[in-house]
Amino acid sequence: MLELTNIHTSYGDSLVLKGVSLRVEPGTVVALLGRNGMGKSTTVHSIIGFAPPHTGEIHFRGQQLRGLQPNQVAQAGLALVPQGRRVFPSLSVRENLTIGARNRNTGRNWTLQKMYELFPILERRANVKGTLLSGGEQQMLCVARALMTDPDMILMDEPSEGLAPLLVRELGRIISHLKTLGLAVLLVEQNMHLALSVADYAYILSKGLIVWEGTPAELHANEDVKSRHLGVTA
Amino acid sequence: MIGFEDIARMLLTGLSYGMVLFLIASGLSLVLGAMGILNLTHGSLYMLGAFVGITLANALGGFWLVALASGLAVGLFGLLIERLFLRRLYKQFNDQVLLTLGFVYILSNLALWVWGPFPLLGVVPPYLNFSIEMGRLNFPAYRLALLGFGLAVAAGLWWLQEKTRAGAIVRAGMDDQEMTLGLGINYRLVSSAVFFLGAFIAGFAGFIGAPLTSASWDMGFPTLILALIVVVIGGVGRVEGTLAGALLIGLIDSLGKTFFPDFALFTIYIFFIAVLLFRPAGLFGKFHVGGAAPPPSAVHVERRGPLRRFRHQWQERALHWGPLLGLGAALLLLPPFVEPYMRTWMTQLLIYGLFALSLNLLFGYTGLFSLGHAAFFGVAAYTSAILSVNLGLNNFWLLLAAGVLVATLTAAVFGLVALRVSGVYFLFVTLALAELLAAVAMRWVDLTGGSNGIFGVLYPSLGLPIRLNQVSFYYLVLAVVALAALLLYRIVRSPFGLALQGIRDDEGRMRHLGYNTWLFKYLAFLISGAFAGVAGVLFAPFSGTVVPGFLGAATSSVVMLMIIIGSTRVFLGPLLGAALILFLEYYISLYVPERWPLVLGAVFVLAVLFLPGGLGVYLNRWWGRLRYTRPASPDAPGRMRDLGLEIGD
Amino acid sequence: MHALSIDNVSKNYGGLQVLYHLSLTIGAGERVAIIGPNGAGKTTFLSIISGVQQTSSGRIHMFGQDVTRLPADHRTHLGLGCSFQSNRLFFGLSVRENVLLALQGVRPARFRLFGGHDGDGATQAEARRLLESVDLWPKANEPVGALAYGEQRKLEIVLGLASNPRLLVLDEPTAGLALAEVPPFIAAIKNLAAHTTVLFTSHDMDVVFGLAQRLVVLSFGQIIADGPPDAIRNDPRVREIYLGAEV
Repeated sequence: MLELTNIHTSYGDSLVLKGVSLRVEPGTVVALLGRNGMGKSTTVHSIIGFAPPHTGEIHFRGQQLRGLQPNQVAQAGLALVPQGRRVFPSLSVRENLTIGARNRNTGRNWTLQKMYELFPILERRANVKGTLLSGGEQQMLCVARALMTDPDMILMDEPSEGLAPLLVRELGRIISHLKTLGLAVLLVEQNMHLALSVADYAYILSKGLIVWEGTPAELHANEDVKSRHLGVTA
Repeated sequence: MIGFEDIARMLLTGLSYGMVLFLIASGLSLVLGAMGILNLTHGSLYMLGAFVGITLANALGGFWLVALASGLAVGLFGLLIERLFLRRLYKQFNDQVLLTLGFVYILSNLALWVWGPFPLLGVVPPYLNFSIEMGRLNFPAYRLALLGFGLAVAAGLWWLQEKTRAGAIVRAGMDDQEMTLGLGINYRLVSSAVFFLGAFIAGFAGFIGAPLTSASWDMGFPTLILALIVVVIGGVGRVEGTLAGALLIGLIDSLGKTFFPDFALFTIYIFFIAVLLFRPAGLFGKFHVGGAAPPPSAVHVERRGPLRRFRHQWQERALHWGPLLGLGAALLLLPPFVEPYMRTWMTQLLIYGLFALSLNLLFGYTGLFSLGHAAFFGVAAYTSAILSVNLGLNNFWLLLAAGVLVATLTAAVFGLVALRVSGVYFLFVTLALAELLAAVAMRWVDLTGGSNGIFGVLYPSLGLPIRLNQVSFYYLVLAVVALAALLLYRIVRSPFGLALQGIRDDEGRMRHLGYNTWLFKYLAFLISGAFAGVAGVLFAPFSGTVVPGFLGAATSSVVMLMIIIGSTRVFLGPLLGAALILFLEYYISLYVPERWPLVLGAVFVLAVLFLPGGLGVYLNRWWGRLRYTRPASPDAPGRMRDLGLEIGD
Repeated sequence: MHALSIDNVSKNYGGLQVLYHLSLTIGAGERVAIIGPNGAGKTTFLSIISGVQQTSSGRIHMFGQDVTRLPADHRTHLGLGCSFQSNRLFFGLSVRENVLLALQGVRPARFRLFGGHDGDGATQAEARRLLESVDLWPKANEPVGALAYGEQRKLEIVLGLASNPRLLVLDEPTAGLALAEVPPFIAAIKNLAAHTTVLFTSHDMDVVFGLAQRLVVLSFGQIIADGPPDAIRNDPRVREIYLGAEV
């Protein structure tokens, strides 16, 4: 579904991604792990087009994404749940949801009503400005906002950031639910626990390179990789 | 005795004028808020709308259709500017400002060409061409209609912005433009639509406001400044704020005209300054421009090329100092042997060069984009002209001291007001303050001679037994400018100058390093004002005449252009820019003097599009290639960049 | 006298509360790590200490003086030095000039209108010492933009240290450094800030346990644990919230 081949991306003068390649198959959840500053968010930004890579290929359902504007990437069926949520503060919750609403005939037919069923809290707060929601509610809003663009795949950049453990578990359930609907997810996470509980496959990024890949079970077993690249001390 | 009727008339007059201001400012505010583009052409678009509309109405008759047509015409013109030029300058604030300034010159000169120098009166539809009479009060019906119409436009805009999906997209774009793209929204299309709408309202307003403001070729700047004042007071991007700000300004204007007719214009400015001093975020000030203060001119990092071959030290020195010595020798030796017009040209070059260098301390080194620097230049020129013509004082050194003192004091006052705000607002405020001073010079006829200015300024005496003639005056200018430039150079290279550059790169970080950055910016403002004053004192006897135009935004923006064309990052770059502009001006005025502003405007546009970084940088790079560069030994307190014209960063 | 004393400090952005009634005192010479999950309020906590942001309520004292409403430059003159999570360097200037700016910020020389950027001999020597301590001296005349990210990171820390602060605040000092670069970097910080109170955040547990003598655990804007590293490591609540149950 999504395939990155050897992408290089710079911010200003510093090369952040030094040849990242990864694959996401349809209907699977793939976790991208790694410490702060290793290039995880840059990978997401490279895909969506906020930080276009200068070399490498990005193919999404056979279409080359490199060189497209972010809005064209989004229209191709990729949705973004960005780091830090980036809810529009001047917009009400409802406007946040409807602003990007689209029907791409994926058969999922997302409507405002369906979204309210999935996230009941959003209906109760529909007329409130988006930033007046709590952190957890804002995260739900972001997932819902992304779904409203009727995507085939969602890029989630650190969705668990700042969420209480209970909400992180809720988030895990939502991601699993999206998977059952046939959506693919690229999940960028620091919270290894969440990532491995929902992912089918995982990559570890360090200093702009993929240094390890495998299944969650393999990663669980590999203490060396965990302590070296994820900062998990046994 | 002021009765009820007078108060009612005053209120109605103020409110209807406020509505026109609202119509002007709303487009500017919309474009600034939604796109982060400060469109300085906005006042000129209003002018264009007025001329186009009046011409159409006189030829074809009709009113509302004509208003729509002029809106459409101006809207399409705006769209053209956005598509062809502004689109390439996304997030490049300085370039946007210069480009739109260029169009101010182009449009005003075109208007002068097409519609002539005399103002055209607005057109009132016959069915509104009567007065309403109530007791002693009679009031033009058109103004009342304007009031209702303005409210309808405000309501429409508010509805569009707050209640429609398009409006939600625009608001979301003000919050976080990138994220709207991430949701698949084609924000570029939205931007074009917003720009079109802004220009449309301006063109439309130009015609229906014309019965109040009429149409004249030189109304671009004053209209823009009124709109900027409204935006500063009302906040950016929100219809309610703009409406409230505009009505308030309209009322204050009418209040001023009723009670202080001699100072009518100034009541607005005094109110504006008071708001800035006490509520710098604006009266309704929770709204802010999306991008806040954009960093001044993109960081330009020069890298050393690979070292090629070794030359002897003396060769290296000769190449290093060669251009500077050559320039110095030419300035020193040529004048007695050239034609008088050439001498005049060289004198002018030196004076404007110093003026530009002084502004570059503020812009290139401190990162403060000021469009009011001519105020200090002009006020010093006026001071020395008034002292010498009206009071007969002609000792150069006294005139210099007085001129610089007055310029510095003016900078001290302006700095207190302007440094209350930053970024876009700093530009607004310096522009408005300088125009205020120009307006004072225009009105205070007893002191300044009004629009005629002060003429017959003679060469000063040096207190020596020689009388200055054209040649010796040139050498006086050369000596003073060289000394001043040297002083400026020392300041730029001093720890203080380094601190200014730090503020330019990251003011917040400088505070964390222990710098009271406000104080440093204020001192930079004073110093650059003082040096502009030196240039101004030299200018008065050079030109012989000082007129209000030398104080205003037009002069400031030309000097800003000189800096940018020359390069802000090479110390003598502004001199180079001054040479280029003055050369062009001289050449053009030989053939089509009346089209100079048109050419100047085109130079603005071309400079923005084709000369990023300025000529100085190119020259330097080219010169650097010819030169041997010594390996950067850390033990030698070296410079990071390799600047052939020498000097500075 | 405490180096830093935080008294009942809260911070909210609009309706969103980030810090809840925090109180904390740090003695002179202590090296304290603030840890906690992403979004716990660590960066906000450091930024109200450094003066980037104002508190919504509560007081902050530095070396006995109330700095709650003092601007950042005053705090620097009181002895605070800080470096930021994302590098805030002066990209139009050379490496040396960056350090000189930091050195002169607390010296009267910053007001000097004449004389070179480099200041006096003592300032030059100090700049050299600082740059040598992080191996950046050979690149002193390079533009900052020509440095690799790790080198820029070191310069960022040097800018915080240059004023010879009594209290040093570091936000994620080793973020983006190569693994091999981290231990010498920590050693350099320990060496340069031997007698300085240090308050820092880090996600890297090697850095936390290598540098800190005391850990403060933040979660949802509240302090949930505070103590020596070993005690924190074994605190079940901390393990649950931060280190993750699988560890």
